[in-house]
Amino acid sequence: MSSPVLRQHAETAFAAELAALAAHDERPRPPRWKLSPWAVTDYLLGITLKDGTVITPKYVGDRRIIEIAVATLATDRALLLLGVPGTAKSWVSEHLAAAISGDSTLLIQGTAGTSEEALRYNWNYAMLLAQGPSEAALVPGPMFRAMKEGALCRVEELTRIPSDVQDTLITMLSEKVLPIPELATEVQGTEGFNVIATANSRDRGVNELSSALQRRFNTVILPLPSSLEDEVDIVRMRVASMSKALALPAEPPALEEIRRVVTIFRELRSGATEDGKAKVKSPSGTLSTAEAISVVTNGLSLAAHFGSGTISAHDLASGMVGAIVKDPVQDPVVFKEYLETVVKEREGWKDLYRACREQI
Amino acid sequence: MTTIFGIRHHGPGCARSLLAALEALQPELLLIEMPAEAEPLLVHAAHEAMKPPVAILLHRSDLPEKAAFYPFAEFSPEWQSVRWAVQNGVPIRCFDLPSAHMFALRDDSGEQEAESEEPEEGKEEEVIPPQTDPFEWFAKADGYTDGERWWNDRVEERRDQSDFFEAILEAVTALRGDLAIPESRETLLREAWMRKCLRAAEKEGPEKIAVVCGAWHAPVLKGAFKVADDNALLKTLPKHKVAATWIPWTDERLAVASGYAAGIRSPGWYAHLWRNEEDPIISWLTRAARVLRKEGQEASSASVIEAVRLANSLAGMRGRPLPGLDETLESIQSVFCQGDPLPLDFLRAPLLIGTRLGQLPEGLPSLPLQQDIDATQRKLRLKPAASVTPVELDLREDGGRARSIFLHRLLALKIHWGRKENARTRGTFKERWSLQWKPELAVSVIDASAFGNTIETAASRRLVNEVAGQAGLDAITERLDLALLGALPLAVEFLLRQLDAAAATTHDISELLDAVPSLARISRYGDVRATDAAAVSRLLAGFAARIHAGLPAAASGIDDDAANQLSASVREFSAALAMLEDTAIIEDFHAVLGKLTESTQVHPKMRGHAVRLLRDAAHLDDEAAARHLGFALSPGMPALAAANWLEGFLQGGGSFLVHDRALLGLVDSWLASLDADAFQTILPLVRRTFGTFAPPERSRIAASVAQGISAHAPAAASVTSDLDLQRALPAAAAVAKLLGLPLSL
Repeated sequence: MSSPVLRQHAETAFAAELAALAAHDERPRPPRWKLSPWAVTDYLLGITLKDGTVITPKYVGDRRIIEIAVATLATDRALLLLGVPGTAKSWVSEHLAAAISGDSTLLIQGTAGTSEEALRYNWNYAMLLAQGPSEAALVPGPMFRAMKEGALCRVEELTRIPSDVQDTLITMLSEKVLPIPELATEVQGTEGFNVIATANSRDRGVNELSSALQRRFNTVILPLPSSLEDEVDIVRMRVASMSKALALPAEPPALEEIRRVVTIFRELRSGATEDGKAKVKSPSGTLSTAEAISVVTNGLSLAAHFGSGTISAHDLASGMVGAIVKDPVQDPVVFKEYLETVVKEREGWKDLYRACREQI
Repeated sequence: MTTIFGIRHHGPGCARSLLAALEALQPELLLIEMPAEAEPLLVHAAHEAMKPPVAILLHRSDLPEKAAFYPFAEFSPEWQSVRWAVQNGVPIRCFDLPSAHMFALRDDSGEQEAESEEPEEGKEEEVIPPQTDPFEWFAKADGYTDGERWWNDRVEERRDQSDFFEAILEAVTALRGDLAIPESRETLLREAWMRKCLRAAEKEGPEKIAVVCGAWHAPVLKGAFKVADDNALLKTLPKHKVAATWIPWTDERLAVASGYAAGIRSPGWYAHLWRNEEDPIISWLTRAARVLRKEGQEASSASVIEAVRLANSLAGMRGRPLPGLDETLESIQSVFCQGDPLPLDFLRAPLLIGTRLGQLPEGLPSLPLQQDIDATQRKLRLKPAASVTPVELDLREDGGRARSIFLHRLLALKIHWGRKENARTRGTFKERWSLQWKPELAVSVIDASAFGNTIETAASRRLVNEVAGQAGLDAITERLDLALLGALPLAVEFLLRQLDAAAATTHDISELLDAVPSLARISRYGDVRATDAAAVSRLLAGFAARIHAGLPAAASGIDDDAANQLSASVREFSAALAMLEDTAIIEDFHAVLGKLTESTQVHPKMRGHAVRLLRDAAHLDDEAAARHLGFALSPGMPALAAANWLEGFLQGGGSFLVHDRALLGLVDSWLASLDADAFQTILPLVRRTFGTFAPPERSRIAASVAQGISAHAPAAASVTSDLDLQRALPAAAAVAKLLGLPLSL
């Protein structure tokens, strides 16, 4: 066995949970689904099974959102997850694929350079030149394989893909067919094949989906966490699992520290203090939950290797400044103003105020 | 044998089950949870022309605003059972505590007092005390998050209807036993009364009695309750005289969002379920798609298919028998709206709530005033509707005038059916109204009926009564306007006398100023029965004299806000005088204005405005106006005062600046001469002044400035262009002919 990987796929990391769910799952499953839609929902939202097995929640938020997503996949309609950066789009899509197909690796990363070949198939050019087009010379892409195997294919950042390339998906989604004109043949999607795409709503207008393609998707918008408590929960859960993976010797951060980071992020993001009493300016970055998670993990790592082992305001400050100050001209001003008017006045936040002021 | 049907108000599933159960039982008597006063009205429910939503309105005869409503939708179980009973010749008895007692009881307790000021009294409608929804308990036991959804699934949207009422009775019995929520005295009284009525009915001997009541009360109607206890409780209840009538209701007021305590989330959805027993989801989503399409959203038939599939799949996942309102809305959002919740708002009025207004058959007993209003509405072809209907009236036509008078009279009666909007056109012969009939207007009608039995007499008397005690000039003027526009000569005469009396005692010039336009209208155009024109003229002359005497003082030593108000009032006053064409008064007025322009005590804005009015009346020529302007804007004048003066001068349009380049040049050079500080001080003021001009006016002024103004260049200079006289001649001749001018070349 080779050395342990940095990050395991969802289906590997949560293999035990998936197996436990499958064992208890007596409900009807759509063709080639590893779990029933109910079990998939439970897998994502967390539940305690009858035998006491705890399924950890993967997504903290409105149950309806996950229900709509799973129901969509059950109707063989493609699913489009939309949201601002850091709202767990890719995370949800990975876990859906892991729970439904048992395989989250059929992945196409959308970029401005994504070509039609990446969405369809490629050729072994040496063989192509030597023998002409043949099935042997064809190199299947993830979509190709998903169709053949009846699995879920994930398309990340769909709206980064140029519009003309995006439209390749239309035939695959509506007729469930991938034509191979060079061989005068086609691949027909087998039962269980479906597509989960994610798109960043900040990209709106860059490569807008054509209405023909849009029509093939059911869209689910993943919102930012609605309450402070939810968001603190998310950060706590993720930090705990990440520090385990990184084998950090530091103590898990106190809930109070996480709450402070999340509060600062939420306030700067929404442009108002949590109590709604004061208006604050918003910096240019997104300040998503994912960034809050990385600030806390980063602080934890600093505390473990250079600090006392317990996370302090000082450990958090540098990560926080890095996450908040994206624009070198405007953002420091915004953050300073926030520190002076909000953080400084807060009871018990003096340490954080001083630590941040030193950094900026 | 007595069968008790515990229901929840307004629910299609419940109504359907109830009808089936009544059909099977074939009772000989129907008892229904309504106050006794409603009983004689129920027979009308089966009338062909009666179209729900309608409501029974009960109100105190002496105090119409103390009222309670009992709304019915077509899918209300009570409505369906009453109709069934009437159609099958089964007698109906209302067995809830009579409103006569209920109103009196509410008077006793102080906290109820505040509540009954609101016309809506959902309280006695309610199945459950508001603080806790007992169905929440069932919902929790059944794995639901809230009682509404639980009831929907288990009751309203279920297909199989057998034994449904027994199950409810059993469940609520257990619940009331276990929870033992202390009931209010009102509820206890009502339940005792219901038991008393039920016993009386049973004693009369019909074999089969059906009782339809709120599910909450169902368990306590039978069982171990002592007759003596009930009688003791019901002894010596206070009483008021109560009147009852049918009124039309709206879908909107059935919704819980309207504040109706027993309201439902989506009357439109229930109505749809009631009408489309087969395949409600497909037709519902198709309707939604059509609404969205009308609003310019993409919603193809293919999307409808996908939405139906998603809704079914969601319902399956949630273990519901059929997709409910939530599933359909979620699939609409996901399929039609790209996940965006905002377009769902388009569905609200047409689909989720509904825009229907109930209809009553003609000849129902109603108030004489209501009858008069109905008759007038028919005569004038103004149909009451629940949605907002814009109406444009042309006052040059008899029909338009009659409608305007009618609507104004209703306003005088405080029946706010129509709202007058500012006409888009400048002319005075057009009026724009937006009409919306709301059920609570029925209360206003009852309220107004205290003043008389026809619209005209009631409106006159109401206006007269309202000002009888008070002396405020503005209150009188406001009503005088309504009386004039509503053609109520009796009221006009009385109000004029009141006005005269009040004017003598007032010290407030602006109140006097504001009263003049109405008076001028009477004097100039007269009213229908020719109010004594001489009296009005005398009154006007008195007003004008008082104003002229007081104006210089009123315009001195005031702040900016007061100056703003005053100059606007003076402007109206001046327009009214111009309409009157009484030269003596106008000359007086101009003399006063002249005094204003010279006095340094007067607020600069008023001074500027006085110059403007004099110039507009051609009392000052352009040269004199330019002299005033030059003086006001000269360097010796503080910049702020100058800017204020200019604002007053330019109030009411600046088109003349476009034509009079000399004036524009003065303004321009004044602005250019200011130093940086002064410019900054006056900039907002000047900006505001020019901001009031119409955009084309502004752009023309800007164009003139851009061309470069020479203050000395004659205005006509710009007109000298190479006209082709030969080609212009026919056009000029035609214009001359139209205007009746001699054409001289």
